[in-house]
Amino acid sequence: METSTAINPNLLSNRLKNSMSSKDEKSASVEAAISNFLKNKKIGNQKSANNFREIDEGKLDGLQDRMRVLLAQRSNAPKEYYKKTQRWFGSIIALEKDSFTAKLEDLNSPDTYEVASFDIEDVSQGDRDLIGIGKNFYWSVGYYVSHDGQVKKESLIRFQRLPIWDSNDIDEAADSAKELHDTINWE
Amino acid sequence: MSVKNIVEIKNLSIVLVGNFNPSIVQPHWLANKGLIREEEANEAKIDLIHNEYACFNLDWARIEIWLDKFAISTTREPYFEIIRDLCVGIFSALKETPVKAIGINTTAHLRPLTKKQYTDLGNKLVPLSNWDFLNNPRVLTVEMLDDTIEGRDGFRRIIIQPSDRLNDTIMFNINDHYNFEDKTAINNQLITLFNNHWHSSLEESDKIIEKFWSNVNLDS
Amino acid sequence: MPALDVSEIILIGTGGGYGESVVIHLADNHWIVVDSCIDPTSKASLPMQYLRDKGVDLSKDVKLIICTHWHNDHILGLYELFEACTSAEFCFAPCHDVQKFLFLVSLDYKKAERGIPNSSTTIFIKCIELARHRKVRVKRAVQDKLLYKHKEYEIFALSPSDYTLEKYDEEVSTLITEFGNTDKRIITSSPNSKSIALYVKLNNHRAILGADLEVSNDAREGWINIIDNCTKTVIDQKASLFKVPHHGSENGYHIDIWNTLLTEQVNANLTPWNRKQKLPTTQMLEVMYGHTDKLYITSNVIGSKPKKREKGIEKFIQQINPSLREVKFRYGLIRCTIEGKDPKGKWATFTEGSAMPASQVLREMRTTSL
Repeated sequence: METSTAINPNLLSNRLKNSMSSKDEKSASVEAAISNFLKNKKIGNQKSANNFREIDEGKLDGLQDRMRVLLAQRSNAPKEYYKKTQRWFGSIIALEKDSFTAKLEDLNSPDTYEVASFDIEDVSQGDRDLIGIGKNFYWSVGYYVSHDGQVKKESLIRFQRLPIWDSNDIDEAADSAKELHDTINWE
Repeated sequence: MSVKNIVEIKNLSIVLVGNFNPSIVQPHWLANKGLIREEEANEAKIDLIHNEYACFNLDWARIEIWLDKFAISTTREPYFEIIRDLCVGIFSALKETPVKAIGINTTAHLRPLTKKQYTDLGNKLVPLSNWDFLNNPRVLTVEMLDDTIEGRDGFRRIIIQPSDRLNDTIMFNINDHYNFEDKTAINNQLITLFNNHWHSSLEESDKIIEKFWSNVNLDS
Repeated sequence: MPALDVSEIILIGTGGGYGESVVIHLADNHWIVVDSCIDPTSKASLPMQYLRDKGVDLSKDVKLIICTHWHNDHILGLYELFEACTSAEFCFAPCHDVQKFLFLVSLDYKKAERGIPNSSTTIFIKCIELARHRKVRVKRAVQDKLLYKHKEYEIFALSPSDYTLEKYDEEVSTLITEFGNTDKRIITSSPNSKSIALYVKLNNHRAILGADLEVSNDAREGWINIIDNCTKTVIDQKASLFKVPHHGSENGYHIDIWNTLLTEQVNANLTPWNRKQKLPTTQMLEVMYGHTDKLYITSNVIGSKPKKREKGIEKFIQQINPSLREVKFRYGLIRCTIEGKDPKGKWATFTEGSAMPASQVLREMRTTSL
């Protein structure tokens, strides 16, 4: 039974992985699960696929070969990254037709807060419905380095999405309120 | 020296250990719950959805689910809090999921070192003089465990290895592990944990790197 | 520590972004704290720090903590303070249907738990739960209510009025119905109308602490209501010390407040507000100076700049969003003392930190035309 909460308990560097000769010995985090799955499966003598396209073209057995391709792909972690990122958590305090003003908590250094205005145009279409007084969002600025090494400055706004209420939440709040009300020593 | 001047790249992942149903959490399920944008669900790249293993990628996160493990990770620093929110959202919808433990994992790749610093670092971590019977001893991995963390049931595990992203530098994998008391109901515990420990976990990871850097004293 | 028969009213300000607080020494080591504020770097409760520095026994001598409004930045650090003040009672102003009010707060607390940690709601509900756990008395403030008494030293609530609380009842119902998704903060309309203004009787002397109470168009609430009603009930004498409401804004000003409720040359203290809007304005300072020369402010009304960051990031932020401004923290304290027993006693004013006579601020504002 899995007990580790590390992302890759037996992480090996790419250089080391590349120097290993065995085709099957890749990232251990997937390997353990897939090995268990494949342990008692009949592998048969199907050809190996090199990618998902070959699987989808119907040349090979779907599931098992998907797993093999997955194993093969495990060493290809995304090369892109961000650096020197400054992040904020914002809460809208005023809303105009084309812009809004927000109170911003500095996530890199949470001491004093900041205030700034934003154009609604800066918000992705998929988030526009989330704009409103009291709504929260994340804003970050920094350098994005793409997989081919291209550096670009980036500013990103994304509205916070949290779980929708269900009746249990409402009931819990109501119960909590009643309990508080009934047990507080009111003057 | 501040971690800002030491670390070049940061990645983050959240890993839960418990009993999961891999086939439930799929991109459109997330979109239906309002937890991601509809467009993101449409553009998601699904590696595999199966009742024993599921794996898919959003533009900014990777989700993998086994029967006994759930992992969400991002290589993009602007999305650290967003994957946390997504985790809260998923397990608010699946509040009866039995979870035993959670790990907040930071991977930090240090800025490239000089050849001398790189060699000196290995020597400081593991004195190479003790290995002088080998032809060309080099340190590959150092792993440390701190199993006494004040105020909570858990531990911290730190692995130092050569970086797999940048040349001539190392990366820290810091696994901040929390055991849950109540093994049955995830929802409230997860939220409480994130509220009480999220910032401190990330701050502590930074402090570990800063203290380590100060102790190894490679700048002199 | 003040002498036992010396009353003190201490106004603590943070520069206009991290709350304000009033600490009161009635007499005989009976201390009251109104609201709380923090140093945003250390997160320390400033009134608690002040009391500790003065050698006050928080566990015994703080008798009452008043939360003038539950849902704004006036309560940062309040829970830590209340936790330390183990003998203190707790006072706030809910609507008439208290259970409904607590339901709203509980709903907002659930939101806060999920994604908006450290909100005012979290602080407030923790205080309520602590009060319940300790079985201390919880007082509901409403106009004319006596909140605390020690010999000839008393504290009365001047607001909110009954009418305000009825309206609040309806508002809470609406807020509950329209509670919306978990990712939205709750916003009450005109929160300042519900804030608790206080009338403090210090033996022979009086003080009025205006909180954030504004002048309403409706005479059934706000300052006009206080002038019309409380002068017939609890207000038995003009106040010689005044904590100016709402940062000296126009909304918190009415000439009748100064003429009817306050002595001539009243000692008046205020805190600034420093977000997008800056208060007090030059004009309002001049108006207040028309009433008294003894006007003090906890810190300057400062223009704000962006935070200092790594050069590349700073430059990039300036390019994409030049509106970004830091809300600076400026600690300022105005301490006013008086011998309550002496009918001819006069207030003495001392300042700490960035606090200063408002005349200095006015001079600067005139020069820089803020």
